[in-house]
Amino acid sequence: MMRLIAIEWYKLRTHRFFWWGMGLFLVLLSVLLWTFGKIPLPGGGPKAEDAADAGMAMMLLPRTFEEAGFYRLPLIWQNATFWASFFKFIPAFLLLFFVSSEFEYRTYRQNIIDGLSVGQFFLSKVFTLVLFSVLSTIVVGITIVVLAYANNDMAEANLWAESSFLIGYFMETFFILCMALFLGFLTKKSVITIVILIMYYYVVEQFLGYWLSEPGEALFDYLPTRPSRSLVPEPISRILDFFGQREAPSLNWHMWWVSLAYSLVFLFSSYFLIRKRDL
Amino acid sequence: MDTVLKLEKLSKHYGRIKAVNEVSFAVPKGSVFGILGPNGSGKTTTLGMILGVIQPLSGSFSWFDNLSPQEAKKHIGALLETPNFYPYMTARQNLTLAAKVKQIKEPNIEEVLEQVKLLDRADDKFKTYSLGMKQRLAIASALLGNPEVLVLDEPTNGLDPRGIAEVRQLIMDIAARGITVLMASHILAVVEKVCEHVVVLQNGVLRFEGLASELSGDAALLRIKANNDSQLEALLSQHPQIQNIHRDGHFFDLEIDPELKAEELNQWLAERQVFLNHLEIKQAGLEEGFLKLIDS
Repeated sequence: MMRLIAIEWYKLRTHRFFWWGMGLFLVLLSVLLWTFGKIPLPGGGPKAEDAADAGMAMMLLPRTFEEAGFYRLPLIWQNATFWASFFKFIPAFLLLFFVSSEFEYRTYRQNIIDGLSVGQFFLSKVFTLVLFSVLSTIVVGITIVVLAYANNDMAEANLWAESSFLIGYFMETFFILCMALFLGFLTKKSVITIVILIMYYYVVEQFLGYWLSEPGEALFDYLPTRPSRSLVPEPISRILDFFGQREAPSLNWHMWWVSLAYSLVFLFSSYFLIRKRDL
Repeated sequence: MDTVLKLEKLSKHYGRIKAVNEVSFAVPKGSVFGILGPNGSGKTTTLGMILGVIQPLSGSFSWFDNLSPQEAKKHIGALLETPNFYPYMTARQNLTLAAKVKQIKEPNIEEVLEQVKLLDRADDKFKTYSLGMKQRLAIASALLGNPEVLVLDEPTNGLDPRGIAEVRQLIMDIAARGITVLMASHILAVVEKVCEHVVVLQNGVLRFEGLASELSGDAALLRIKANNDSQLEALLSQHPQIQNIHRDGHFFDLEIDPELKAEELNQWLAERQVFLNHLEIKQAGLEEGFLKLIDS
């Protein structure tokens, strides 16, 4: 296993796309999370210069997402993982690129000729998949901890409350990578597969859902990408409800396990796709 | 005699096309073994099967007396069809990776780069290489870890005449070290110079198996020329010991009875007032034997 990891790590670290992808993920995530707090809150308080004209009640209203508690514990966990989940496509595209170029340049074939078994090649790609999921989860986790320390009185706050959303984020990324691996093995092409993945994720499955059932019905919620997307619910309404109870919507563990099951189905299907294929 | 590889009725069909049909042969240890055949005769498919990248339809093969395929590959260096490398890595990085895949503890990267004369370009990216350099790097990769068997599919593809001569010499040097070389090619000049054993494939069927000299045959060839072509041609057709006449411009290639000596023919012609200005004794080559077999 260490040999497979060494082989795969060598393939990754010698390619600039790997470092660019990692850098892009880090930069985009940081920029989004830092600027999000500055966005004016819809229906929020008046700007500082207009404050004199406004009444006292209006003065109490938060003006930006930051003031509404975007960086507050424990809300930060859900806020950050929700927005970070849009960037899961960066590692997914990166994985697709690395997998499809193995077919395009026939290096997969050469690896087999040189002594890897099909199963070992598959496992080495699973390593990349797990590495990407873990790395992006760590990056998101560290960003959250930094933001939490910068914006909270840590003597009072509990850092780890609601941190289970990070486990939800991990599964969401892991799932999309498993799906990308499957599609990559299926088509052996990178660009077309990126289009297929995005189209399916944002268009096809929506139509499929409405065609097969009503939203809220069980079938709709159990289409392949649905369970993973429901793991971190959108946090905006929770933020806007600043006078409400802000009940914590905890991670849906049932859907977490369903996502894992779907991921494993994609993984095993990937293996069966290449197991008997001529190269 | 030890065999390193044995094929037993190996077959692969693509739809109705029988790419390889019940091919059996054995490769003796230490030999330089050539697989000959026209384009599309099943050479690469055969090599693909024994290297584990194409699933056979039926039949079997075994390396080193039934060693497992994974274990066997540690002793095999192979180049199949095109050179396949990671375009973004340098030659040295590609060989480093190949050595990891092949589980070579202390890879002789410098040595193999030197052998194919790529040392000065070793740190350039593979995608900047010419076809000939890519081919040489593929041979270098096959040589990593001093394998016992070298499998080369069209090793002179994309090389210029000088490159072809260098690779031919390299293969002969490798063979001299006792390494078994299994080589597929349709370039007979290369095979003729390096291979002792040959098999001939045609349309997926084994047409010949044996020594290269057997395929060439021992029919003697004479190449002659005189000032008067038509008079010479008329006389030659009357000679009872001449089996075949092939005209090549002003030259005549004669397949003659082994009993007939060149000087006898010369005297016979002179007695009839035809004087030769060119007389050359040729040994029938692999090309003649090969074409005769393929056309039959």
